[in-house]
Amino acid sequence: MQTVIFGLAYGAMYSLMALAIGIVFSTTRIINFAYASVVMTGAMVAYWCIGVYKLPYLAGLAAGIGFNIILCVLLYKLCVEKLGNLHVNLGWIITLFGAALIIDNLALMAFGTQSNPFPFLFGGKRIDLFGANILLHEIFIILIAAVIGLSYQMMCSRTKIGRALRAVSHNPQTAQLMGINSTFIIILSFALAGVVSAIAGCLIAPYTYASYTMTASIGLKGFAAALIGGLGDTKGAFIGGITLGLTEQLLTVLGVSPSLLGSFSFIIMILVIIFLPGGS
Amino acid sequence: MLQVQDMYVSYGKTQVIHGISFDVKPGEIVTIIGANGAGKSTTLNTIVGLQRGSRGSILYKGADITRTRPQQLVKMGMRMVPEGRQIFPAHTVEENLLLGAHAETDKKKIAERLEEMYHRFPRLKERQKQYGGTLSGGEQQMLAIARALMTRPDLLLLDEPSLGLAPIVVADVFELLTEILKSGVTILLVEQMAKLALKISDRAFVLENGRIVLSGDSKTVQNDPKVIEAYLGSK
Amino acid sequence: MPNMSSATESRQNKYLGALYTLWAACFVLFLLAPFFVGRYYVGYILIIFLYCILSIGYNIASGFCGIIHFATASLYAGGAYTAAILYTEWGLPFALSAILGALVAGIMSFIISFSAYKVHGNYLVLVSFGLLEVVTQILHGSSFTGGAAGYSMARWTFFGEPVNMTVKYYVVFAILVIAFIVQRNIAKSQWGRDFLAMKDNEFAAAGVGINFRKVRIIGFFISAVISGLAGAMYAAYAGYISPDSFGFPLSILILLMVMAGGSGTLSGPVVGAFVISLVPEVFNDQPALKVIFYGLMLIVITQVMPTGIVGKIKEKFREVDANRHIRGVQPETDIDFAKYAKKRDRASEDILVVKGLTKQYWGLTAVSDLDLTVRRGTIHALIGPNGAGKSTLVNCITGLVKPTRGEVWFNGENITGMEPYHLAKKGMTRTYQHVLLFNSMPVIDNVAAGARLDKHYGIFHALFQTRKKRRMDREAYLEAHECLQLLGIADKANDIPESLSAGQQKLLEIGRALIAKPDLLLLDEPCAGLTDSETEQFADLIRKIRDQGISILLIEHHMNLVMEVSDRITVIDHGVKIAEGTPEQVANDPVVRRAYLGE
Repeated sequence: MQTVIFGLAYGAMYSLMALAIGIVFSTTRIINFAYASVVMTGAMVAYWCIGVYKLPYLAGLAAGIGFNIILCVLLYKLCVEKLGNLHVNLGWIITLFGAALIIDNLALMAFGTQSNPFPFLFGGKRIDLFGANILLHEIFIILIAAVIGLSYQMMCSRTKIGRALRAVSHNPQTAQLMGINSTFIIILSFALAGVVSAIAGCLIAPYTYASYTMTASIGLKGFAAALIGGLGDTKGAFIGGITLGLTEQLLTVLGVSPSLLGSFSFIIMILVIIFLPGGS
Repeated sequence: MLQVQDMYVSYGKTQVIHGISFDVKPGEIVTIIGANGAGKSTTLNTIVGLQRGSRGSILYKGADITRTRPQQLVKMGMRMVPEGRQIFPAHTVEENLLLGAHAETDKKKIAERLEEMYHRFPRLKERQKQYGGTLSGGEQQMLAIARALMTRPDLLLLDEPSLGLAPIVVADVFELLTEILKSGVTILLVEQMAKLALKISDRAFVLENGRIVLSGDSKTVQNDPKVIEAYLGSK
Repeated sequence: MPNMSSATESRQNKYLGALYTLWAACFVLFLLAPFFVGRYYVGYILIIFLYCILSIGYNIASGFCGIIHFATASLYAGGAYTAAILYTEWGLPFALSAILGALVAGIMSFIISFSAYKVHGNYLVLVSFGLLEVVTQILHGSSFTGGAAGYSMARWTFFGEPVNMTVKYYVVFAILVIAFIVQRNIAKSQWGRDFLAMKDNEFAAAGVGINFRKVRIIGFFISAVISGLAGAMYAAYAGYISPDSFGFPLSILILLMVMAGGSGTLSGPVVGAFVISLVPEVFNDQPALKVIFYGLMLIVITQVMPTGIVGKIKEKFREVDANRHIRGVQPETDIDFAKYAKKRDRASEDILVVKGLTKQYWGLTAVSDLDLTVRRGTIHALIGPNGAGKSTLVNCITGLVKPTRGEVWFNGENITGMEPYHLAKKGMTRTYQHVLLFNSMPVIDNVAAGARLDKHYGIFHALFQTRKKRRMDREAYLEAHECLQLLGIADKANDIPESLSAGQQKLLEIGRALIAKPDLLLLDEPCAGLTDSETEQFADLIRKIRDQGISILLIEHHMNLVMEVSDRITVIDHGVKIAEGTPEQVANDPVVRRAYLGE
């Protein structure tokens, strides 16, 4: 049971990352290679507020979210906008990677190398559920991820701006003919991805410790989750994330060492890319 | 209402429009006909801002819109129904219509217009909750036009509305256009199906290889042998 | 008028002279360096040499073959670890270990190149990323590679004598020079042109007969072998290797070097390696700042200077690349199109027969039960309103699309569903609606690419610049030049395709298709966007080609042209044939009029 909860919790975190990747992919058809760095900055800024300035948790979270929004808009403006037709000009692969390098190392310079403990929700309280002793934090990760996923889904299907976002995903030119400013919607999608990344960062940080190395440890898990579920699809992001999370836990139980787990997600990703270009 | 002056458009190196000028007066239907590759779609796309011309100017209601973006033109009362209809397949019929009203902020007005469209197009009301991709070609065309009418445009541009439709459906579509004209909307139509388009329009221009080779009122153009030449080559 | 003015020729000589002198000076400088600098700097330059070699390897993959990837570090690691282990554990002589290391890296490259079968662009990048991680994990995890602690290679000895730094320096230097020469020889051969063609446009590359999947695998293999060899030398230099040296940062560094220096150029990788190694020396005490600088460079260079330093310089000195084979070639006076009509085994009167062709896409029928016969030596036009299915039909004939039902017979052979690159050899070439030229190559190379089937040679010949290779290249270029003369654009031979006017670009495409000596030439809207006089000239040209016995299938909207030149016309609408016959018959056919003008 413990394993299942862990699997779901980790899965939920991966799902949030996959969602962040998916939101940007749906409007631009590009994979934001800098997303892991954005998750990290969300956590670092929050940590700075919470751990150093002793601000309340929510304030830290808000700061992380705010910072990420600005960062993601900058990412779009500096790394993507000028490249024109993104299907033809693959330069965004390089510029986004370059941005990731800059962000990671700025974080290193600003925050130093030490790994900082990040608070669990509810102070790390543990409860007993169905015979397993787990952190309340873990339950809440699952709940929060579910809430975010559902809200995003509802926003897309019920609200005016969600409709516009889906329209731009399908065809930015036709969307313009409806009076929709496609560029604004794309920037919005970057910003939304930033928000989701910040929340994901704060939820993950207690496990990985908040430091600039977070990027490396979680980087490809998000990609793997996104690809397994199929890029750009909210439901897919969650399916991919949960699948990855549960499978990882299963392997841990079977005795596979944690470092090999890293390779595992990569292998899965490679296999998915090669055999299922649309994801599952 | 619309004045195109000296439009030149190129795709990279290839110049496809070589300096055309024409105008559209309020309350009329004007047709641009021509063979494939004559530059009809390019002309409309440039007017509406999806493409940019290299020279010349476009005036709409007196204002210079040469550099205006499509979404702004929607607010100014110009709507386009693109080639191939381009309805959003993953949105329902109702959502497509609501997207058409994106530029309208008054919720009451949107609701009113929605009712209007359902009244005018009962078939769309039937398929309210169906996804756009499941509609037939003719229904999609109705949807695309209804969508464009959601913001009560003053000028409606249509790019080859007959494309890929069965002749009976095409007749319906053209009848619809005459109705729309009566309700006060000026129409600029681009068509390959010359005869049909000429029947319902007031004036026409014949485009051949990016140049206007014939213009005048529809009756005259209809009977001009140059039209056949433009399509099927000279004898 | 010779193809190059004497002014251009002398300028080329001047620039080339300066360039060669520069390279000679650098060569001598580095040759003598160990005598003037201390041991520390010798090692330092050696490392830069290794970066140069890696950059050359990556340049072949990305600059020439168009594969952007991040696997460089793992290929480097593959070479290093293999060589180190074979030398230490199995006692193989170092040269052999190094070569085997290089081969292991080459084999690793297949993972990427086979993935490229199915995936493109960003997905390929992810696969390479994944490979990098997997290799790192393996190195960390396995004991016989020393795990995270690293592996110590046995002291490199040569006949019992330990090899000192200076000797290592010269060995690496020699390998760098060899790598540079290999890169140059490949680039200036048909293989290099094939790589560039594949990078520029796979469809057009297939159209001239390039099996781009095979070519990509070979190109990437060569790139990997070079990287692996560098890895082996790194192991020999450092004596101790650990997984940390072979991570993502190294891959990005090499990518940056190639981009900064000039992707796709010959000297770019070396220039880039030096610039990127030396310039950030100011940041040496602040490693984080150094990486930030790298990241900034990546963002800026991609958007501001995508051709790199050498690329930018080359823009000013274009004459350097002027084709030497055609210098001073005097114009021929009595050439005509006869030479493009190859005497092939004439199997049938009907050169192209399409039987019952149907293509369905998820409920939409693009082409339905279509029959089409092109008689040998005629101009056969295919016309129809927008959306009629002409493109689909053409794609089915040329193998870009597999038909749902039906057959395509060419020269008496069933070619239904055959891969496009086979067709050029069988005698079918084509031009494309939206001109697909190879923009990385000058105009004359574009035409020469069309001649590649005739003037083919293996990679061995390319690498060693054999007499056969030089002869084949020379003949190819001379023929290409003749072709350009015939088409009236010989003065543009050394220019880039983008600088030509629309009409000239269309002519260039025809030249490329014609030089392959086809039996059937497929022209897809060749007159789109041309002026009336250009269209007239075109009509003339097409007729001359047909008069030599080459059949032509013409898809066009210019009715004047179609009516004027065609021997027969087939009209299709909504995927179905609605009329067929001579121009007079078709023009007067009421069915056709209805289809076009509506009723």
